[in-house]
Amino acid sequence: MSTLFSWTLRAWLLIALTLGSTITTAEEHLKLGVFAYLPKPVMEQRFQPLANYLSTQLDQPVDLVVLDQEDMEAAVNAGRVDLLLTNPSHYLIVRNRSSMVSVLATVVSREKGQEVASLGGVIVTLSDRADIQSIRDLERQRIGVPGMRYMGGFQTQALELLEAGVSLPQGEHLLLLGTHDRVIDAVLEGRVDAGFVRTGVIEHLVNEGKLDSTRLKVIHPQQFAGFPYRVSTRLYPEWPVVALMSVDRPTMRRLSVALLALDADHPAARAAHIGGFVPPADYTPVEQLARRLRMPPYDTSPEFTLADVWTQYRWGIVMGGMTLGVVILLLMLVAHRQRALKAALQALDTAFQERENLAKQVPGVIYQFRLRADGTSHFPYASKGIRDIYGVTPEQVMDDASRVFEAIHPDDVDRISTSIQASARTLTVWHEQYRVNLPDGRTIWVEGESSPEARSDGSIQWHGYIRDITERVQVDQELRDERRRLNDILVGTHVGTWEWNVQTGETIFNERWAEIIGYRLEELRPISIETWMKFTHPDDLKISSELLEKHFRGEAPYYECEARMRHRDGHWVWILDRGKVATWTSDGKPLLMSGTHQDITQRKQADQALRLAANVFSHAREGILITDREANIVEVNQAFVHITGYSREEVLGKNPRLLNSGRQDKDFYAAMFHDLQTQGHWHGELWNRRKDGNVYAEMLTITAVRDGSGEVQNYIALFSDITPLKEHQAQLEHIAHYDALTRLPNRWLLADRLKQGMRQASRRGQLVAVVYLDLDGFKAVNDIHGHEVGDQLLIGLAHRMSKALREGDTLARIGGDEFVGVLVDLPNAESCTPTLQRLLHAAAEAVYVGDLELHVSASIGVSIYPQAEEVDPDQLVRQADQAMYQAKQSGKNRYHIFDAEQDRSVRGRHESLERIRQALKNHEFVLYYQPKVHMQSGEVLGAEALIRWQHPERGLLPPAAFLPVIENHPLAVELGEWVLDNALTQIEAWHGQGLSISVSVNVGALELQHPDFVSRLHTLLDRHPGVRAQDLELEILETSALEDFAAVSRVMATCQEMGIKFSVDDFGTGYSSLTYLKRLPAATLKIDQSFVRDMLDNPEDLAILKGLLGLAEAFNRQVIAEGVETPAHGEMLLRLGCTCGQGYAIARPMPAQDLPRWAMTWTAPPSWNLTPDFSGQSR
Amino acid sequence: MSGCGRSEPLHVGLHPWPGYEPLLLARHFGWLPDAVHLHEGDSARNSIEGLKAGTLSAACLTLDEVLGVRVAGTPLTVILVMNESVGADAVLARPGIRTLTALKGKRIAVEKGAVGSLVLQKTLAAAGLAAHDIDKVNAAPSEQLPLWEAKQIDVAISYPPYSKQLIRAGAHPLYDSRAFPHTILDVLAVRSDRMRAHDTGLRGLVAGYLRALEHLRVNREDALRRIAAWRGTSFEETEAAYRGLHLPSGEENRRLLAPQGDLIRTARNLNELMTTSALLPEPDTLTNLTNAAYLPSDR
Repeated sequence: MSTLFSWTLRAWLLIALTLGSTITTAEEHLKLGVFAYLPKPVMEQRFQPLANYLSTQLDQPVDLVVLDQEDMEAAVNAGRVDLLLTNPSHYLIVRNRSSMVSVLATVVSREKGQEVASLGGVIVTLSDRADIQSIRDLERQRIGVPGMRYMGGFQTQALELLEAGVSLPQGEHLLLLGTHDRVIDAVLEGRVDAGFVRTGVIEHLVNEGKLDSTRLKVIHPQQFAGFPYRVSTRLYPEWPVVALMSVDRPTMRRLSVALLALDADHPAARAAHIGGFVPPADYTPVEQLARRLRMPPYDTSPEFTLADVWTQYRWGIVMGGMTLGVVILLLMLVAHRQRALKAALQALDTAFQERENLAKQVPGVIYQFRLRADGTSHFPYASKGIRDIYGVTPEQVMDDASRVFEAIHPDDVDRISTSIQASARTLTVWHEQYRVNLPDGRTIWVEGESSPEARSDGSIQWHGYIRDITERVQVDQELRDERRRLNDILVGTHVGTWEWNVQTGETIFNERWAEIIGYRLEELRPISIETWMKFTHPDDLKISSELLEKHFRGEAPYYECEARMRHRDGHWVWILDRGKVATWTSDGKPLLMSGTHQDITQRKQADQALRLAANVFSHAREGILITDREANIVEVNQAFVHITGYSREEVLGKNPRLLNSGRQDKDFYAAMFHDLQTQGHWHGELWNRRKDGNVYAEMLTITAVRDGSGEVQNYIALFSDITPLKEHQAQLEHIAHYDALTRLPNRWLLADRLKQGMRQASRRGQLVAVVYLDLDGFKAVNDIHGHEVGDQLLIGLAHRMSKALREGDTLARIGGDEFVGVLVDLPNAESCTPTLQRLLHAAAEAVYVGDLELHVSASIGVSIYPQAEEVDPDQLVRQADQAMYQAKQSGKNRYHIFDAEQDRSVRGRHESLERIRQALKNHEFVLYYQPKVHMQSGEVLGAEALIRWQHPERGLLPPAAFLPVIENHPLAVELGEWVLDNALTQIEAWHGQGLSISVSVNVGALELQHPDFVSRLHTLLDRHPGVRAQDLELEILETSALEDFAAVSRVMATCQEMGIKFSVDDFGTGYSSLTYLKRLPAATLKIDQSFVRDMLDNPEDLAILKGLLGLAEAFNRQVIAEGVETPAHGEMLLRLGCTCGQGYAIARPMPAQDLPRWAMTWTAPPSWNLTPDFSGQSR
Repeated sequence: MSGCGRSEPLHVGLHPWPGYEPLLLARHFGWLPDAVHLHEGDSARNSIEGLKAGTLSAACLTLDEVLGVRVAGTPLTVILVMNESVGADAVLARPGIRTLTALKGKRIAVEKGAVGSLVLQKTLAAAGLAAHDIDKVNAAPSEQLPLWEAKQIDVAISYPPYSKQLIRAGAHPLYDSRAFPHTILDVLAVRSDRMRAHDTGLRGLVAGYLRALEHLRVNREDALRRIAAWRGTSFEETEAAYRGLHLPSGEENRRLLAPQGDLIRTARNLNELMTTSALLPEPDTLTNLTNAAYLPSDR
């Protein structure tokens, strides 16, 4: 429907716009009706130019029609005029008949250059009428007027008379003369005592020379600034130009423009005696005038209408919540009464019975009350109801109203008297509420209303009614109280209120409603439901209307909505909008609704903050735990559940200690609690336990939440699981502290452990041993099998060697095939021996990598802490390294303990020499023997005597520990002699046991060069007759031989003559030259173990070895290889044609007593038997 | 019947000021109770003295003047706000004086102890001047024209209708109450000790005033031409004078006079301003300053 309508409307508008001008400018004649306040010919003469002017301006014929009062009514009713130029009161009548009339402009009158848009009335009489001086003197005079509908000619003056308390002329005292001119004439001619004309009439007549101004005087003159006319009344807006409904809007607009544009000097204006037009004036004063005078259109009597009743009782009805029934009843009563009253008053004299019947219908009293000219009063008529109102009978007051006034409450009676007098004076409706004391002692409230009329005998008579309103007054009072209370509450609660007529959109807000959005109510006017819509957020408006609809449909008992409204400052204000429909239309539609607005912005903001906090709480990756002040858990978040594995329900009410892992001690928690107490928070790392028992690390912040008084209310713990971080850290630490390949501690951790061990040892009075371990033969494995295999070997060995240690000891890999161990808690130096043996054993055992069987051994150097002198960890390691080197020197696969004392003695020799001399004296030196064999046959060729110092405190010391001290010292010769003597003794002993074996003895250069060497050798041999010369072999160092080649050669030659053989020890390390080799009278060359040991790994060494072998062959020397550490070495030597060997693979140096058994049991490794002798060399 | 008890006469003081004219209109149309007697003085000073002396029970004054009288020991209660000055109170200066700072050292006519002092205070504050920077001449607006013509003053603080005289004599408006809204309120103030005795009269006085105000509203030309006639000014000038005034209706009055309404708020501000600028020797207690009970009921 509405769509169709709007389409139609649009279509119509389109057509109208397209054809508009043709329609409105069709050759229709606009008819301008002018009210004839002057004779018609004069009017036509005056206003034809205006009609012409408008025709020209509008480009449309405008016909002038001058109409008198009756013609005008008919013409308007028949639609024969389109425009009216008429007086304001007539305009009111026309407007009242049809609301479709518009004032286009208001006339401006012009006089003597003064232009005014107001008119008034003038009261004139002859100048010589001494009896008429003031308005009061007009009482009962004959008055001439142009007509009762003339504003300036009757109505304005009538009001002044009323206000002054002068009766309006009527009957014979009122002469209706038709025009103003005639009124003036009648005054001048004495046919009337006074005349009423509109302002300007006199001045015009005077100007035209038709009147001698001195003949007339103006009664009740008013003083107005800038008003060019004499005037007796107040001023009212001038005549309007009225467009009737036949005039369309475009034409109205053009008419307005034309009228306003009319200049005062334009011929049309001058002809009409006007100053042009101004925009429409406010005709309210005219309306008020008509109402006061009860002139048309307000001539219905009494001035008491349904609308008035509604206006008057609206609040009571609406606010009091009276039922609709009561309202209707009241309205019906009033309507009924109104009709009845009118009829009753009209038929007063002739239809008494009817009146009485009627009166019975009306509660209260209907009466006539008359105030006589002498001031006394009486009730000519009163219905029987007067008994209920005043407690008197109609008869009792028929001639004298005194009893009524006596009944009126003393506090009210003066007021009533005054108002009656005022009503009498102004002839306006009397309306009062007052109290009456009834004879039975009750006091009632009554309300009376009556209309006065002046009677010709000078009395004033009222027709009216009075009724008992006690109940209503009480209700009113209660309502007032209630309203006041309600208002107090509204003001007190700072609540905005609204009332809304859902059907019409009419809306009422209170001041607070506007204040919430930063306005004064006044500034929002005009107020309608649009006002609310204008300020409300569109989204919320949508929600609001949905909620409203819900309420309207009865689905919600009331309406409630939170909405944003735009504050004057631009921000949004949150309001809580609540309401309820109070009244429904008969067909069930909502009619009146009222409700409140509360500013809830702060609450909303708090809500949002809370929501945000709640969001953070539930979505944080950090676990959050909230406890009460007793540390009982009151809330946890999802992350807590995720991290700890406990569900929320499981932990609520519990103490967080259920997470305790036990990894922190009491002191830790005490410190935490202390921080919380003193600083309000604690931050740190902590190990806790998950529900599944796993321990995890967390980074934890605990904050104490205090209330206003500073009391702790809650604790909030925020934590994140840093276990992965910790693990990563540990991993990094491991990488930093451990060797990646073997997983053994690295150099760094070693230093740490060593320091720790040293500290501990100092405290406990124990020793620490540093074990420097270097693998023998590892290089060869790497070279032959590749690094992968080498690595596997290292891993295997590391694992095995670690196991060889005691708990608390440390084995670290410090690079390549070098390891360092720290042995702690040692009561003495010897106690490390088992561990060292285990280590050697572990290193020497075969390692299997895939199908390969790998063999290496270890050389171990050991240093002991503490020492006589201050020593640091680095020194200890260096010492051990040095010792390891000694071990290597001593034949590998052994350990050597660093002798700090010896080391020191190198630095302080005297002491040491003395100690060695003493040792010699004390027989502390011993000889060990290492066998030399034919590797292929397994035959034992001999044994090398090796000196050891069986030190009473430091154990067995290798030669390196003491020989360097006595080198180049006579003691060396002495010791050498002891060795020779001893060795010879041993040979004798073995011979005695049936072991025939040669023994080689090392002879130092100094010893050899000693002049007595040969003789002393002789002496010794003589001392041991069981020893043959050939059983003794002397080994000299290549380097010592070269020192004094000639002398050495001589001694050697002499010895050879004696049958004693020589061998060159450490062959290959000196600067052997072919000449030297050729001339050196040595039967055997001992190839230095360094070439042999590394020949498997080092091709250079192998090449040298081959070269040495070649030399030996070329010079026909025997060759024996030192350093045969493994069977592999033997195999290789055999392959190279070197059949004789000495080394760990055959036998370690051993005490003399062990040798015979060894010699009996030893067999060469099987692989040596199979090795072909490439050299073809044989013994 | 005719022997109605005579009410005690209610003497009300006022002086020429557009905002008070509706009272004269009401009297002209007979809308005031018989007991009400209007006493037209030349300036506020007459009204203030009358209130203090007790010859007047009520008067039309500005709110600052009311505070002054109260602090001086005569209790007053405001029962009606007649207007707010939004431009009507003005600083008028000789043509050579074009800026506020130019006021320094000038002879300024101002009515001591009346609203002019407040205007001066506001003006000096805006000009950044101190009281000793100017030469103050104590003269009510009604007394200023001869001083102006005798060139004894350079500047005058005035209001209509007197300001018109000065403007005609060559003064130009330099600064006016538009610059400090909600400051100058003209009110009907009653001696608090006499309110009870004049209950009926005061009700009638307020009702008559509001009726005249309504007349001024709907029948503007009639009202303005009458006022212009008795003030000897033109219709246009009178109309212009009202442009500088806001005349609150009865309904608005109810709100203004409410216990926490705008009037109290304005009074608090004035109290502080006037105390700090020594226009008041001490702040007013503001107790019982307003009473809305004399306004017609809602109905």
